[in-house]
Amino acid sequence: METITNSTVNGRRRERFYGWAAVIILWTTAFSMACYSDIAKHSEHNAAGSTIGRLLSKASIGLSQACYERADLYFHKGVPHSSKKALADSFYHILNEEINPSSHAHRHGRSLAEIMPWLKLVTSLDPGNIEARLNAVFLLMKMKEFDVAEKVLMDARRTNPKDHRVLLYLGRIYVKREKISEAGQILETALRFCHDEACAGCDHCKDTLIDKRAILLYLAAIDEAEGNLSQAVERLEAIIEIFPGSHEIETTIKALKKRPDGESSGILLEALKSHEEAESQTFSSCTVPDCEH
Amino acid sequence: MKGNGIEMRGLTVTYASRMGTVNALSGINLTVPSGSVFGFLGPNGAGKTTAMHVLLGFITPTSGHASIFGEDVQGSIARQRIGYLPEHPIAYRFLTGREYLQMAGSLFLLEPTQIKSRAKLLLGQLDLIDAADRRISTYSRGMMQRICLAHTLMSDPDLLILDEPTGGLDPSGRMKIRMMINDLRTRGKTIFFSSHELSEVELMCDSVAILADGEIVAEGKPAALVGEDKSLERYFLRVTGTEKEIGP
Amino acid sequence: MKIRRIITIAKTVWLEALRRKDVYVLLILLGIMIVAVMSLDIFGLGGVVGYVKDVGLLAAWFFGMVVAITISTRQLPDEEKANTIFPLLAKPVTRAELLTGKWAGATVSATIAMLACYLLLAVLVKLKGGAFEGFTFLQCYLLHAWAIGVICAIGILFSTRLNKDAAATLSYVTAGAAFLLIPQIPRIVVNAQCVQRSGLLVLYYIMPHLELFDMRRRMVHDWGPASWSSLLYVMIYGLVLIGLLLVLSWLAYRRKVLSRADLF
Ligand SMILES: Nc1ncnc2c1ncn2[C@@H]1O[C@H](COP(=O)(O)OP(=O)(O)OP(=O)(O)O)[C@@H](O)[C@H]1O
Ligand SMILES: [Mg+2]
Repeated sequence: METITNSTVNGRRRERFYGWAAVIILWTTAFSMACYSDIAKHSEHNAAGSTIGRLLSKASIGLSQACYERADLYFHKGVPHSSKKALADSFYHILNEEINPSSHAHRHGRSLAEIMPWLKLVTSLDPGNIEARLNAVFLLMKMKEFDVAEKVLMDARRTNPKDHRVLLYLGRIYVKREKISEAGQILETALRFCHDEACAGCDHCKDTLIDKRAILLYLAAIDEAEGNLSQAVERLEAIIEIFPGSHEIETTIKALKKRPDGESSGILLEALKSHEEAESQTFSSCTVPDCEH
Repeated sequence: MKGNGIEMRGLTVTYASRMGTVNALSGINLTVPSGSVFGFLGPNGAGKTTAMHVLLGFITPTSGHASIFGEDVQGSIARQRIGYLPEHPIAYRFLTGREYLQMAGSLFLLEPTQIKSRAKLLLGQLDLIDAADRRISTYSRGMMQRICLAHTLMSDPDLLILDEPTGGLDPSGRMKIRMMINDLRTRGKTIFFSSHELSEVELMCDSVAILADGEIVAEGKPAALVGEDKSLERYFLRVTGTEKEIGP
Repeated sequence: MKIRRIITIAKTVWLEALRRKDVYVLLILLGIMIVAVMSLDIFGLGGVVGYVKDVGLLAAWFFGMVVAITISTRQLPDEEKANTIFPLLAKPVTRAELLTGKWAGATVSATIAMLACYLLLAVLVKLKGGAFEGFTFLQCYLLHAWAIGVICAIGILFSTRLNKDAAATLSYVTAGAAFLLIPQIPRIVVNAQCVQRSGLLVLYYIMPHLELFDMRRRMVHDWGPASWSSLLYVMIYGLVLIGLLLVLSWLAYRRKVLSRADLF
């Protein structure tokens, strides 16, 4: 009798243990498979053929969009972009303002790192989303994490070898690191891929032109640092062609022309670097009028 | 003890159901003197449980009035002195027997020491000491019935309303309950119980009332009622009109 | 109303929650989820915990709602189904005491389950190299407990007259709406027409506002603690809401003819 009771008790305990273990293992497997297959499949781009693959890729694009919005929300310390609202003087509204702060705010310094997980998720879910990577790089540079930024850019270059923005950022990092000749090479390549013959009216083309100006500016500064003054002047004149009437550039050209070829000072490069430091923090998806960048 | 344990005057209960109305009780009058053991008999569906639910304030009667020790049954003061064992009693399966009894004690606002000693006493009397600290979910049918009876007795009530207390029990289980009731009778408690075990009723009760279709068809001492029918069972079958269906 | 009876009933609810294992499953799932989220490699950066807090608290809110609704809505229907309601109400327990005790038991059980969630989250965040700010953590938990009280009261109200599945479904809908839709009304109302507008306004004022109890933004985005006076306001609002819901439950339950279990 005694032994029977004991074995029943043990049996039940063991059964229960196996039951729980099975539940936990299955759930964990399902959860990680769901996450992993989503990420893995879409980084390889080979699932696009099948219907399920297409559906999954649509879903993961949607998800990555959500993560992107989340990143933006984090930049604003959890306060969503305000829109027109009624009932602003209701009891509930006033109390809610107290509990959930809704004033406009931005993250700064080290706390920018809190945005990174969401950008990381975006890049995992949607490797083609180059903006997310560039935003990540931008924030990493703000945080002075140049090594990490370079790694991200190298990754981005592998999937988008012809994107001039990736190359521009790489060039800027090399400049920061005083690797001037590498910077020069990479910016030359960037210049080749920077196609500006499009309409010039739309936002995209405007951005491309601004990028081109930045590339030329860096190249000119590098040329100046290497004593290649005539080439530097050529680059700056190319900028004037795109943005005629830029007073600062014109005075720089005049100053350069006065100096003998071969004389390098590096002041242009220094000026660019310090300009970058002072540049205010911004997040590219922040497009609301009341966002005081 | 003075006065009547239970009084029902013109008690009528009509259930409204989808198929129309059901007259569960139609104007019954009943007096149960304190200190007596009263058997409440009747075929299935006669209205016994309904009458008990009125006494406990679960149902508001359609008309009529019921009181316990002179207090109207609607107030919770009346329930202070009652112990009720429902038909098919079930206890909280996740508690142990002892915890279930302690819960009853706290609901009656007894002192903690009193609760402890009373629980111990009842567990002993009802043969549940060994199972006291086991979950009720592991109890057998008979143990369940006994733990529920113990729960009912925790407050040492003056009036016990027991709905088929021996239903579904084996002979020894029934025997134990009968002994318990006898013991309570000697301590001057009033016991009002329903049962289908007529031989048992004959043995234990001071008086009985027989209910059929919501009306009282007979009332009195068992010995007096039996008369020429020789057994309470025969008498019961005759007055409830079920004799003809079965034959002699 | 006797406090001791209410406590006794509440304690029974707590023992049930403790001994039925369903709450543990949720806790384990929460732990696995947070650990899975934590294992994300963020470009090799260390000390990034905002998103762990975010996901952990979201899960805690979700699980809190599930626990509160499951426990609160099963109380009365289960008692009726198992016939245990009769011996309970045969004692000098009033129906008001029963409802209050059940509510208190459900709230305390769910709140303690949530405390386990919060502590687990705090430990995991600490392991990841971050920390919670003490006061904000306390306030956030306090208001979360209050919200659970409101949700339990909603569950009790629906379960007075419905079976437990129907009551749970309706509670989810109500709590979900109170949390997600009602706060959006000020945005919607701007573009609404006359009749629609009045309907929305009525909803806005009569429905519970659960968003007031949600301090996750302060926790995740390091806004620091809220002022204690506004916290007090919200807590008073919560108490009024709970009182109102319990009175409604009592009105619905006080004369209810209890059905007998079908145990035959
Ligand atoms: N909630 C209800 N709605 C409608 N009719 C009901 C309800 N409860 C009981 N009844 C009916 O009332 C009558 C009396 O039922 P009751 O349970 O009181 O009988 P009883 O004497 O206890 O029977 P038993 O010996 O089988 O326990 C029955 O006809 C029953 O069908
Ligand atoms: Mg009955």
